[in-house]
Amino acid sequence: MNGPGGEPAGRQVWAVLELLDRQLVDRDGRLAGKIDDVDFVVDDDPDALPRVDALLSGLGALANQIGGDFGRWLASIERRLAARRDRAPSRIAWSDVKSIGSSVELAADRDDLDSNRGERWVRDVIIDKVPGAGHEAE
Amino acid sequence: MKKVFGVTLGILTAMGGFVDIGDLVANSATGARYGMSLAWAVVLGVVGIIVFAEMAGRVASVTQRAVFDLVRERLGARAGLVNLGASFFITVLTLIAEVAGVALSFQLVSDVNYLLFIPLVGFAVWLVIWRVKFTTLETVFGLMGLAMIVTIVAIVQLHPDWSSLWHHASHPSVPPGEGRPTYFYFAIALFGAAMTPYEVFFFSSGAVEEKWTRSDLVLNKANVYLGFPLGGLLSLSLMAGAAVVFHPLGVGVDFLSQVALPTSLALGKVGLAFVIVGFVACTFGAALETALSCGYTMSQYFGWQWGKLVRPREAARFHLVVVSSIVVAIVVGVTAIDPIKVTEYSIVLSAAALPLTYFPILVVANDANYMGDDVNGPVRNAIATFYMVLLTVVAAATIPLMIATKAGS
Amino acid sequence: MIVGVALLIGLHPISPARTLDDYEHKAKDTAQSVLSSIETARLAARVGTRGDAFGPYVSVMLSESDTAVTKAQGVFDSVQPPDRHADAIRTRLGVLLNRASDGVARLRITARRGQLDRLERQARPLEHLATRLQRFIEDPGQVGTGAA
Repeated sequence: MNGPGGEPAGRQVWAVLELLDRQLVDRDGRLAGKIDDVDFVVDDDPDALPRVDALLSGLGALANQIGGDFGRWLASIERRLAARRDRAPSRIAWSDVKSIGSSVELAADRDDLDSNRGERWVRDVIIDKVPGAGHEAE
Repeated sequence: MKKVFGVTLGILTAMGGFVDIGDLVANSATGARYGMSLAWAVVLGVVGIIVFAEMAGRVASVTQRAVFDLVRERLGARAGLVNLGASFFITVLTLIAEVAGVALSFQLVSDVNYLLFIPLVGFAVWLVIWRVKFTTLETVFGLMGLAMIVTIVAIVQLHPDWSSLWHHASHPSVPPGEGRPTYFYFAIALFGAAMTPYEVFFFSSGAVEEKWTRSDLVLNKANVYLGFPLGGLLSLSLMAGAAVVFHPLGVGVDFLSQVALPTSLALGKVGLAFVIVGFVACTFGAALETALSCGYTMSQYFGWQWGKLVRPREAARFHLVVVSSIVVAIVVGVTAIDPIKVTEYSIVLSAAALPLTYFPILVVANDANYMGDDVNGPVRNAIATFYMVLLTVVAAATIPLMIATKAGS
Repeated sequence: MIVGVALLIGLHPISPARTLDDYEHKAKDTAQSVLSSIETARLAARVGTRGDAFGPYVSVMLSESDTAVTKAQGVFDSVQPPDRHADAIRTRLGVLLNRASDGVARLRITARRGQLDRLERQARPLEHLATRLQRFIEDPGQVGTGAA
């Protein structure tokens, strides 16, 4: 994880550890990926505990978690697919988080999230071309 | 009405998941070779799947999360990925076998080479997943699968020596002239066929698709306690039919056509027609389940939107995985690779991967934070723990036995 | 592991028989396999003639039996007999295999022509053949009159 590693944990940090690999849900109840990594920030106040700055989601962040050769290979794929030139995985600001339960609910729409680029691409390029893609479900 | 149709989820899973091409072949082949002396392996497998499917269904009802969703959460990204790799590979292998199984069933009624049916079957599987409602899918194939009950009628009609059958079933022994390793290899195959991972992936995801909640826990139990024992009974009828017809003659079951023979002998053309309808229902149902499970596992690991409960365009990557898996099944199928062999490998490798699937379920089912009051009771935990030990032993023994017995020859 | 599985599925290495025992063992296996196919063919003929099964089903089962016999024959033929005694076994089994192949092929052809009523009668010689195969399995080394 990013941030000061190995520090004695405050309740916040432990809670954050539990955030990893949690499901993200957007404001319409749609699934929006998993929390692949968490970004910390430490305020200038020496007594302050590290706090969560952003949630990271996407292949790049996941590659970090997986580590090893396979992780590096995944990361290189993500770099090639990413629209942006920089290597940072998609960030979801902590302020966008609505609630935390067994899944983490966001105030945003998943179509607005960078981490859902892949979903949108597949939808636009492949799925929407097939008749019945917009067909009502249950 | 939802309750009545809710029971069909269990029946479909049991039919498609329990009595799929793997079970058709494994139970028949075992009955032909060992009579009823491996019936215990089927019973053991049925109890196992009942215990774990109930847990998976309960977890899905209470948390609205499916099995693979929780695998990553519990095991972490890395171990979860290994789990995904193994589970996905095995599920695709099973899908290949099921699609071939449907094609073989059509060959039985038309004498047209099954290879020609494979692309059609694949397309049909995709089309049904794309357009047909989940509940319709369940109901139709669940009910159609009940045609397999004809195998029970057939065994009765064959007037077997029941006491002899019972004796062999209850006093299992390795027949003279047969080796122990092969005996246990067949036992593992039966076990793997009964507890194939995709069954719980499908069942738990299906529970979420059907929007089960805490109030559906009774429904969950009804599904599991009704559906899987029925599947087990059908498996045992297949085994008994083969035991009565093939075992005395020293015939080995290597083809799907042979699986239908006891029914044909007992009940004539009508029976044969029913059992082939049953084959189609079971294998097609299983093909649907495995194709969906390919989508479920991958989507649930990565957190993508999955399921038939939303429009296809809102679960784009899920549907991409599903259609890609079907394409792979078609491509591999038409290479004329022996479908019975693929079936055998799929069930044996499933046995090797069982702990991966079932361990996370057990962990979550015991987590009071998630489950509240609906955690496992002590009795259930005792049984489940026994199974975890058993599954680990089975998993460890599988590959060595496969090599030692040259895959059961 | 994937490579291992692929190899197991794809390749079927036929190991040579170095000793008489080994060869006998392979001969027995072949005979057992062919016996199984013959019995299946007989059952297929029975359900066909008695009207317990429809044409395509019977045809499929007979084709599969036919293919199985041919395959077993091919596999056995390719194994090098290690010595003179093995030669005798090879000759003896060879006769039985040829009969099996002919018999089942004939049934297949009849079934494909839709003449299901003739099947059971045509399958009768297979009963005797099955007995001889059974005897062979019990004692492959018995050197006696090969043909009969």
